[in-house]
Amino acid sequence: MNEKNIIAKLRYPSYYIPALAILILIFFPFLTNNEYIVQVGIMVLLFAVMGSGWNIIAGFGGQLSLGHAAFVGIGAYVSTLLFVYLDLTPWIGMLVGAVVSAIFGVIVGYPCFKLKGAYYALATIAYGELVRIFIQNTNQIGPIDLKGAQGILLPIKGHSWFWFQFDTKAPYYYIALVMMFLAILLCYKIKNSKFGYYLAAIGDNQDAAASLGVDSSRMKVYAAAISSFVMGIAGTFYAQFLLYIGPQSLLVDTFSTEIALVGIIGGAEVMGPIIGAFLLTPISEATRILLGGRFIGVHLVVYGAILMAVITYAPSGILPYLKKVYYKFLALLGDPQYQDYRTIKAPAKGLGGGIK
Amino acid sequence: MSLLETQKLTIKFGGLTAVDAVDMSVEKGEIVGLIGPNGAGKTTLFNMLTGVYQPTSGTIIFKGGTLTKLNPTKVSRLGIGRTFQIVKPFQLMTVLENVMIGSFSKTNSMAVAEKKALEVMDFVGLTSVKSIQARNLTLAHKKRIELARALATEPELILLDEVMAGLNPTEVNEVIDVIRKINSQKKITIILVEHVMQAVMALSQRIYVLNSGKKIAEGVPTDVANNPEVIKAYLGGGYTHAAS
Amino acid sequence: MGTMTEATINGLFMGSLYGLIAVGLSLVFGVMKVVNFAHGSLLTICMYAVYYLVMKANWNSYLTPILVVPLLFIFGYVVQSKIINPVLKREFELGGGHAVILLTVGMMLVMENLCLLFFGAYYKVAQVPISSLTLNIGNIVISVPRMIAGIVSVILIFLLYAFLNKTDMGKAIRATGQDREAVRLMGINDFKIYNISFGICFIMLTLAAALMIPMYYVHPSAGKIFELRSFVIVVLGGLGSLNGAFLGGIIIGLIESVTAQFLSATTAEFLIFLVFILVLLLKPNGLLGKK
Repeated sequence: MNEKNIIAKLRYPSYYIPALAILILIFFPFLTNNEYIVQVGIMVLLFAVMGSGWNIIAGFGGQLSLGHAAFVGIGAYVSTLLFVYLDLTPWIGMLVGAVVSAIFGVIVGYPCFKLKGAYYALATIAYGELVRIFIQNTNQIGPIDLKGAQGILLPIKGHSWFWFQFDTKAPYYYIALVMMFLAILLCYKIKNSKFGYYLAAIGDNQDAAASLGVDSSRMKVYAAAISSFVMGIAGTFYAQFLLYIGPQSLLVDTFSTEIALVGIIGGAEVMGPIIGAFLLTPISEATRILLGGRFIGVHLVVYGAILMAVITYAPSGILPYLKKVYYKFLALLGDPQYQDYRTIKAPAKGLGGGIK
Repeated sequence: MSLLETQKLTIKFGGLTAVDAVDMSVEKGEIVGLIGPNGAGKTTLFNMLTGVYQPTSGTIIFKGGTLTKLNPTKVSRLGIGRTFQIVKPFQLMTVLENVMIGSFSKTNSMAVAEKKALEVMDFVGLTSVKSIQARNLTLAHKKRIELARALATEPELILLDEVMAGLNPTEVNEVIDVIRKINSQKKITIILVEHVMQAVMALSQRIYVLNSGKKIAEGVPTDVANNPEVIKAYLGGGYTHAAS
Repeated sequence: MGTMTEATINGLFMGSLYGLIAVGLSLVFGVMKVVNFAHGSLLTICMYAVYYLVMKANWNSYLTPILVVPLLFIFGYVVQSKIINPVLKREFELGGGHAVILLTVGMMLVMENLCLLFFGAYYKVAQVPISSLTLNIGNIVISVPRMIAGIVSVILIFLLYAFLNKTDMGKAIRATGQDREAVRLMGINDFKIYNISFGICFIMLTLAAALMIPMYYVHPSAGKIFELRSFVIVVLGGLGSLNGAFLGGIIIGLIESVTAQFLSATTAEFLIFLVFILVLLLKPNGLLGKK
């Protein structure tokens, strides 16, 4: 398709609406003077990335993980220690952290993958807790000061791209935005490949998949590696943005749960966790402002209620419903491609998966 | 050399011998029936042939190589497809996606996999429901999905575990036609476990009869149907008449 | 030597209490194959119920079950029938295994954080006369409420065991756990059995809460630590096995008490999760679990 074609197509709602959405995302930091709102935007994007990473193993592959905070934590701790002790730029630290996280994901994942359903979920909680208890109670490893329960405050080494530190929020926002687009691209590539199909098959029925020549363990190991790699990347961003990492914020089970909820509530499709993050994260940030620090975690009442409603009434997540509404909206705006959706109740969907 | 051969194949669960020293051989291109009363060990035998269970003793030889100790994934890759007695379609996938999982065993390309899946679906008659989620389909369709999925892996041997149970007479006849077509056009060897006797008798060139894990008879359908031991163990008084 | 004996005795008492808490989780799993991630927050609710009865109405903690048990049994029955059963039905139909887990995760989040909203994040302690009572035998010091908790827990677990094995209702519950299709053919409503089982789980938790109030703080995530313990215990003993839950409780109680005495509470914590993950990986059916 050439440029002229794209521009010509922009007169259709199905093209100009996404284009508009992307433009809003790109210019978002200029639309408000309020730094706090930009911060909320950054947290939304970060959760979108973490939710997408979680989705690769849990949504696509059906391996319900409730311990993914461990991988974020490992990425964050590795890059932070490299940053603090070796003056290594977080950009490289990010890759190192992500690789360490991926290795950890494979090491703990491999033995756990033979466990099914609830047993697997319990095992993920167990290793999440082991990582937390270990870091929380380890003040010193050789010359490295891990600071245990106290956590590590990141020093300001200079406001520059090299140090991944900025005096305004906008650069963080753009880094997170690029990360989110890359995560979407990665998930899209996986979903629309043999690997993605195989993961869906394993999540749906492992015995049937095996009878068709699908090597479940190998697929899960790949998915675990990619998933924890993404979490590791997000971890470094988290550390550099919030300038503090500690077991009580980064490694607690509620953080794992929040990551999982973003994916579950959105739906096990490529855009599921993105929608999930855009819906949920502002709730947590809003309660944080409205209630202050006194009731940390109260947004989880809302999360929990939404989760229960989704499981009961919309086990494929919110995305399919939003799509339905969106397609209908496109039809009403007169998009010729979507006229069918004026009447059709729900779009045919497969592979999208969902919770069984 | 036979395509598939078992020698003294035995499996024990605790004190129970579910399959007891079964010898069996299947030639290339055959349709072989495997019958016996409930609990005779038919599905257990299938599960050993496909690597779900490991035999306690005995060997399985497929195309001259031993299958014993292989897992289901490897067995499938060697060219043995199967369906399940209790259907296991990928519930949340469309029919097309279900069949594509099968066709991916021979290709990495989405386009090729889709093309082959569509061919197979046309062959078994699933084209009309290709974009419907499996969970929303009838049992007859689900059984056909399993058949199509297994075919899409391009097996040399396919094991059909009660693909006709629970279907109405019209559906049974359709499936019989499909199985004949698979055998004659695609040159795939078939072993079928079936309780619908009319179908087994019509399709099978040879039949093995199991009872309580032991092989009690083998031979062409008419011989088996008239074998006194078979009648005694399994078919019951009135059946010989119905089968002929 | 005194410290070792003391740690062992404490471990045994704590262990039976852990067993009592875990037994409901195991029962629910045994009957409906559901791992209830809200178990800890249910305990929290029971603890608050007992706490307020003790503090506001001046009840003796050990008498509170008279009122709280029927109330929470009904609550459990209704939660199961109105909230869990519809999702459970779909899960059976599709043959999945995640929907109900996630539903209970949702319940956990709602309940735990509602407690936070209503009762505040403060640690509440019901200081009753018995709380600080100790028994001194030689150089061994035993806390009386802990001893009561330990002994009563053993009796209660035994009573539950007898109920499940000797009464018709108990047998129906066990049969449903073994084969719900067959049970339905006998004219028993399997989903009603689930409601009752969940109610029984609440009864055990309420009784545990009554035993705990004299010696534990109450706060919104008070139940969480016991929930994680309970997961370890039931997996260790074998999910679905009541004897297993008791045995697992004793083992964990001993590990915790002895390790904390001689090493540190953190080491104990770490060790418990290590045991957990090892059991999951090496013997996922547990010590007494059926295949």
